[in-house]
Amino acid sequence: MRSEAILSVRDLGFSYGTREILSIPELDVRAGETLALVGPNGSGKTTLLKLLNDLIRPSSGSILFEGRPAAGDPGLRLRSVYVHQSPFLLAGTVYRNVAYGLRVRRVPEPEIRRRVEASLDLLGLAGFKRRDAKRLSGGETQRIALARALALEPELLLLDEPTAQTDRASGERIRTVLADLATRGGTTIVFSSHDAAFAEALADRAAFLEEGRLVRIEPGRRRYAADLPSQAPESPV
Amino acid sequence: MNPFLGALELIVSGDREVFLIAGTTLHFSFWSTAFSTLPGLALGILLANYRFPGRRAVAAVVSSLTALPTVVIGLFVYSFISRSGPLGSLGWLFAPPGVVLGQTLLALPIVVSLVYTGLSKLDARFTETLVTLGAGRLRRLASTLFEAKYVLASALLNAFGRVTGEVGVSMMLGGNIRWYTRTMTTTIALDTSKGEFERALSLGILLLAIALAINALVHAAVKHEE
Amino acid sequence: MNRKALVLALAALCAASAFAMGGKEAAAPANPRIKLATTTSTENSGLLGYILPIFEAKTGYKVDVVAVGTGAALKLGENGDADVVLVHARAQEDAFVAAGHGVDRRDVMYNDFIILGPASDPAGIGSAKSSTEAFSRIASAGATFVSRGDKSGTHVKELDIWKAAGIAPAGTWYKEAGQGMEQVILMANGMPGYTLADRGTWLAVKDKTSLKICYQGDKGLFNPYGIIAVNPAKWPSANNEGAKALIAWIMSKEGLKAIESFKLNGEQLFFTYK
Repeated sequence: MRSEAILSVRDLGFSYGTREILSIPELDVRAGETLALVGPNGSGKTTLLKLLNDLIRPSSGSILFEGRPAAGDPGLRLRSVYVHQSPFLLAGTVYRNVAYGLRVRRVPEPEIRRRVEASLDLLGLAGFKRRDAKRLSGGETQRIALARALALEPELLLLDEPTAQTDRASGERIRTVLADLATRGGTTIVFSSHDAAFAEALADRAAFLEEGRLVRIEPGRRRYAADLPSQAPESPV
Repeated sequence: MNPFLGALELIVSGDREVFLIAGTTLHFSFWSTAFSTLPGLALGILLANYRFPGRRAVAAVVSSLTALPTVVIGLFVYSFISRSGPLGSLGWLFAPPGVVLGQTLLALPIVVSLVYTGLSKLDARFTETLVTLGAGRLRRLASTLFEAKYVLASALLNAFGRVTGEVGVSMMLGGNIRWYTRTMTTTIALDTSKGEFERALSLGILLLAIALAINALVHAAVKHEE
Repeated sequence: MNRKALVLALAALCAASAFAMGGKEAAAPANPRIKLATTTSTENSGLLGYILPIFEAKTGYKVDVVAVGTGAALKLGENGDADVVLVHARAQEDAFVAAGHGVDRRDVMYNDFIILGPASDPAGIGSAKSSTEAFSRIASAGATFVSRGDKSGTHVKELDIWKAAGIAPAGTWYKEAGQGMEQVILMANGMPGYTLADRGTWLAVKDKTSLKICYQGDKGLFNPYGIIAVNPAKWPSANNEGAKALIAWIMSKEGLKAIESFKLNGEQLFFTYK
């Protein structure tokens, strides 16, 4: 499958003072693919994801979004979203969190309500709307952050270790949702994982990082969804 | 009679002058805290959220200004609002506006400094979250204020407590005029100098009560934040 | 504490703060506030609290009393921060008027200074023939003496007496307090030591001390008070109407009678020249 690149990395360098964190001569993210970033802690996965979302800027080289410089591009900002490995929920209710990005985009309030409910449902959080976002478990927080991102119906979804640090049930739910999303197509997903087996199962391609360098790219199997028991007994809610 | 019992009797019996003095004090503190709120927030946010040359130096100066003795502020403002000073025509010396001006200057660095440190402690992921969800500058600012509302409340309460308990500014700029600019602390200073401890003690007890109440609120705000 | 309680408490604090100051009575004159800079001896003895309400009720003026030392009171007048001054240091008052800072100076009243000391009178000043001799005895005995040290009228008077005695007071026995009269008397009581005080303040605080009057009655201890309006030509912003009204009332029969009738613990404190 050949497809147009939604993101192109060219001669990318990122340094902290004199310490080089990341150096990638070339990497394309194809529109609609699911790309896994695989590597141990400190290999530069988080940095690359943040660079791809224009949350931080390269020290050298460039990132192109649909052929144009990504830095400051309003299209990239509104059509992509990044989810932290350990997400931060804003003060207030769960509803406020999931509605936040939709309000920024001036989506009409009835539509916001519909989308918030739909994405909370999807993550098995139907009863959570009025809950205080600061008083939730790690797994619940992780799922709400993903619901908050999915409510935006992003074309480009950037996820940092989406299933790390969750309870087992939350992890299963997130895996199912991501597998469905990848299978349905239409959403480009870039996610990081230190778990190569999981990454290759979910991804079309897996990019392996070591000490800030891209060492190889392998095709993934994308059969994870099929492997999952359809009704996991410990499935949440 | 034991002066402590006498003091309690003044409070319990609702002595008119004692409560008028307490009212004047709270009145001054309320306005000086109110006037320091907007510039204090603005400067605190500016220091915490925007990089500009000399930012660290400004932050250091502000934090050292929080330790400025009240009499120095009093002296400084005095020289400005005295009839022979540049703002003399306002007639603010020995009048409530003079005290409020001095106390506002006393409160301002406290508000700036606490807002600055409070916002600096906000999680780094917080701003990234707002940005990635697409919030523009103005919405990020509003969301920051909302996120840090308890920090801001505790900054204002701290400033309120400081101006309520200060004596230098009230004495020098208010002149301790009875029924007009006499505050709890200037009354305590005056009564103690006269060797009359009952009323001084009753005001001391009220001040203590106010300080405890403010402390409880600050504590509640901080706890809520955690 | 939950959020609602916090909001409620904040609201209560604001409401308490907004409670008005009151104290404004009958308003009649265009500029009803008169700023009177005076010495601690007139304010803290209770004299002004006794006579001014009569004036205020009659005229609708409101007198704001700033009680400081004589030197500071004159400085406030000089800088236009007061409308009228009531002080006790004749030479400085004359200099104040001569320099054009004040007008319409009037002799209001007098009382006298006394030398307070420990009941045992260790320097033996009780038998001195003059205040100058009393001071000399204190200095040569090296007995503790507490000075106001604040350029107040009392301090000026004290320095005049040392000068007349040919003594430059210095040494561990001589303490410059830099405080008001009551505080200095209380300090002299605590040390114990001698001090020069005005009779009015002494009568107001004597129950709180074990000091006694060791020396009194000398002509040199006469303590006259003058009242001066701040020069309106120099400070047009000053409330000269109010100052004139206050001076006129104090010098009237009614004002002088009010001063004469003010008593503390049954004793008259200030005497007029009627």
